[in-house]
Amino acid sequence: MVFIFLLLMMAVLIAGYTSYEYQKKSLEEANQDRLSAIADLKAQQVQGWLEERWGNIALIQENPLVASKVDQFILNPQSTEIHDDLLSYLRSLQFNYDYHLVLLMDGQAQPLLSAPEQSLETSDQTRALALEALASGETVFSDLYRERLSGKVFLDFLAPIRISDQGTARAVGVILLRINPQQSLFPLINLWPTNSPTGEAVLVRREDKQVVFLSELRMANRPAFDLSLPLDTRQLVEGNALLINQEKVSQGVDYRGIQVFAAVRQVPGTPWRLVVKVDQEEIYASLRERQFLVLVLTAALIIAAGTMAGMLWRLAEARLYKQLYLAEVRRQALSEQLSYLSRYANDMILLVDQTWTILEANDRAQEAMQYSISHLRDHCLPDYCPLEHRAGFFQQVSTLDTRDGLLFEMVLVRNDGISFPVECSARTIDIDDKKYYQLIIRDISDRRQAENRLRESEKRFRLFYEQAPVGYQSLDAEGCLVDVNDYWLEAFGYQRKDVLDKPLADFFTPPSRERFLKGLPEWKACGEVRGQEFEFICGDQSILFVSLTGKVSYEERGHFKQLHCILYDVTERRRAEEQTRRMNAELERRVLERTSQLEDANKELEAFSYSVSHDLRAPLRAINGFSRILSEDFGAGLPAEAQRYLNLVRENTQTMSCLIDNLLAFSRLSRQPLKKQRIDPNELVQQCLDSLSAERDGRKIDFQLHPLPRCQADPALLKQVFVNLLSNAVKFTSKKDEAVIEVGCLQENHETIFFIKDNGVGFDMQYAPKLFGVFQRLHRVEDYDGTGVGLAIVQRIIHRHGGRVWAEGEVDDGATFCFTLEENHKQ
Amino acid sequence: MIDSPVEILLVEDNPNDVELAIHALKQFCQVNHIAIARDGVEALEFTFCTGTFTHRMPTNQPRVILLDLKLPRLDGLQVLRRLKTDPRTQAIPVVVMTSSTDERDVIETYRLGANSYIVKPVDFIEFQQAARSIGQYWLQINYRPSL
Repeated sequence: MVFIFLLLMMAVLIAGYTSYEYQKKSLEEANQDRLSAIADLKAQQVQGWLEERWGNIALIQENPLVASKVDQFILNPQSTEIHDDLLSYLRSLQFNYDYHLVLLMDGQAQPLLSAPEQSLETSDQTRALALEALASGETVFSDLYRERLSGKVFLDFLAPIRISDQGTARAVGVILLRINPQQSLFPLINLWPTNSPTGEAVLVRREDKQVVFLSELRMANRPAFDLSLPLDTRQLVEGNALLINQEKVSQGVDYRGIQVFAAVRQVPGTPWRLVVKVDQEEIYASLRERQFLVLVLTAALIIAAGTMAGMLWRLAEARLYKQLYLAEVRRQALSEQLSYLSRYANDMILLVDQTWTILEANDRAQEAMQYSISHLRDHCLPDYCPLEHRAGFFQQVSTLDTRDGLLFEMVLVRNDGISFPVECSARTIDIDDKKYYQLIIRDISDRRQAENRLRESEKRFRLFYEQAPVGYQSLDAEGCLVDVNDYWLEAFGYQRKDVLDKPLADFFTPPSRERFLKGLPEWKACGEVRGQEFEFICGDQSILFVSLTGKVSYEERGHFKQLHCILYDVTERRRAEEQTRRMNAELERRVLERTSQLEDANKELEAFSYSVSHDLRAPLRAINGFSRILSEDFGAGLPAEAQRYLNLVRENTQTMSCLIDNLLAFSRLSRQPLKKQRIDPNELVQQCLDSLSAERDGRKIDFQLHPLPRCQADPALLKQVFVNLLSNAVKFTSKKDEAVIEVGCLQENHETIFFIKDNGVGFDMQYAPKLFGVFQRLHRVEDYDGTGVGLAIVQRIIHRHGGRVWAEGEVDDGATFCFTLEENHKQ
Repeated sequence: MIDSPVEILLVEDNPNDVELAIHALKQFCQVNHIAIARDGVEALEFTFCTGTFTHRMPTNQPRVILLDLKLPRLDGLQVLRRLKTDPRTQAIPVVVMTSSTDERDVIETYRLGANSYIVKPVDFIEFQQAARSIGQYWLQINYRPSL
């Protein structure tokens, strides 16, 4: 992080510095360019100005009129005309060209005329120059000088005025043009084309070993010619300008001793050097501004970079600490978990070195081995192996070093001498470049026991499978025999090699085979087959009936594995069933036969009854009818005795008719179906009493009716029972003055017994068995009329209901008739 | 035999019963002509004018037929069925007179269309009263379509 920051800072610094340098350089270059340009401009201006002067002089010099005028004036000095002409010319020159002085001198350098007009005094120096001009015939340039008297600076041009005379030229005079540089030259120099407070152009000249400053010094506010400095003043740009002829911008100090940039230009035709300079201070002022800006920017960038780096650092720091914290927390949790695991693990965990010496052991190991940790630490693991297992142990672990891990079984001996099988998972681990073995040891006694049990169970099952007195077989998905037990082979008479891998269906008769193959997919789908019966062809070609019952076993993934079935030999049962079926059919046939016989008998009986009713009645009617006709038609002729006999004949026919009716009713009882339903006997009794009103007429009978429970019976038939019994009771009490007839019921031995008791004549119990016989009577007809069928009908009805009927009585002491309506199942 | 108007056809095989019936009927009702059929076949021949009765006019039908059930050859129920299913004889009132008190006979005869069912009483006085009632009702009170 610090490195990044430093790098960043360096980059910023370098960038700042480079920027500064670049700016400085570009500024300097711009400045140099500008200075050079200004220097060029100034030099040109000065040169232009000089050339203008030169041109002006040449114009005057070459004007022949002027020369001739001058010549004439010299020849004729008093001529005012010429004097005036010349003077006005001079004046116009002076005025038009702004000369300080225009002076005309003769051939001896004596002043003649001047404009403006003043004393014609000339200095020696001027005269000498004039003479020089006369002598050379060339224009003489005086250079800048300071007039001793006035102290003013002037510049003189002295041009000889010549006149051509027959091929030769002769100088007639000299014209002096005096220029005040203050007015024309110096402003030109001093004028600075740009806005620069220190920009200054100075004109210098060498005089001996001095630098003479010709122009006015603006910066020092000194007039022209006021300053001269030694040429060898150190680094003096003006000095160098005179010493070294170079146009490049140079650095140095100016006359004020201030650092400047300067460009030097030589003014041709003069000893002048034009020095154009500007203060370094001014140039660098803007640079310093920019430098400050760059500095500030650099500082800001550095601070920003520093802040950023700091923040990043802090962020990274925080993240790191957080990661460290989390890692620490996780490590602690893991370590706790690990120590917990190792301490309370269900497996023994040992750490041993390469010599199998025990270094660490968890609680479980101590507990299982029944040794203390110190004991364990003093021993090697093989020490706890039984002697005979040690060689095996070393053989097993020999490959451990070359492997990632190893799983093997071994035997350990506990402190109490008991050995137990273990499964050992060994792994090589490196701790500080040292090799150790970590062992996780599991007591597998239980597993062994379970395995043994399983083996035992399998053995038992196999034994059971093989020895069971029932045919076991296992079928594969195609229905082929995978396994059969011995019983199977024995029962069906096959050798194992003849049946294995053969389809079970092959052992069935064709119809059974078809049914089996059709059913197999269904059993596979539903997982079982139950009691399907097939015809099995045995080894000796005999056919047995077998019942197939089994369940599907599945593979771990739920796919069909095998169909395990039991094959019962059900031939015996089938035969028995067949026999039963045959017997049932026989029985059925017999029953049908009997039924039809019975039906025939019934029909015969019916026909008989029908005949009886018709054919027995017909003669009775005839007897009755004819005897009646006889007594009606011929009664007058018959004696009284004959009439009585005829009446007896008729009465007997009546009796006979009654007998026939009763007999028919009795026989009809057994024919008509029983319509049992739940009824209220009390109602029936009441109806019976109503129907007996004729018999009760004129009698005093005390009917004691006890409530009767509802019962299950045919209402019409039960009513007949009550009618018969009640009418009997009424009949046999007819001789009593006060008849008492009681109807009631009692519960005895879980059955309901109905009874009808009277206080009539009763009967002798020795005849009781005869009571219910047809046409059986215990009393004479004269005493009690009746046909002797009533009780027979009662008995028939009661018997048809499944009940019993009996009577108890004594002569002259009433009778009790009892009956039940249901068979007493409880007895 | 003169084809005189028949008032009653008595179908009865028992000659005693025939005689008693005629006696009773003639005694109380002024019945002029009672035809007798001794069995079912004869009864049908009479009513359909076939067999020994081809000479009979089919329009001369009895005002009432007294029919016993137990008859030789065709029994009374068969005769009744024929009479009541044939449009020519449907309208003739048939009174079943029998000794049978069997409920099944009663039901069957009414089902076949019998107009009345009378149990022949053994006692002749009762028989006379029955005969008189039959004669009075069917011959005098009852009105039937002319054939």
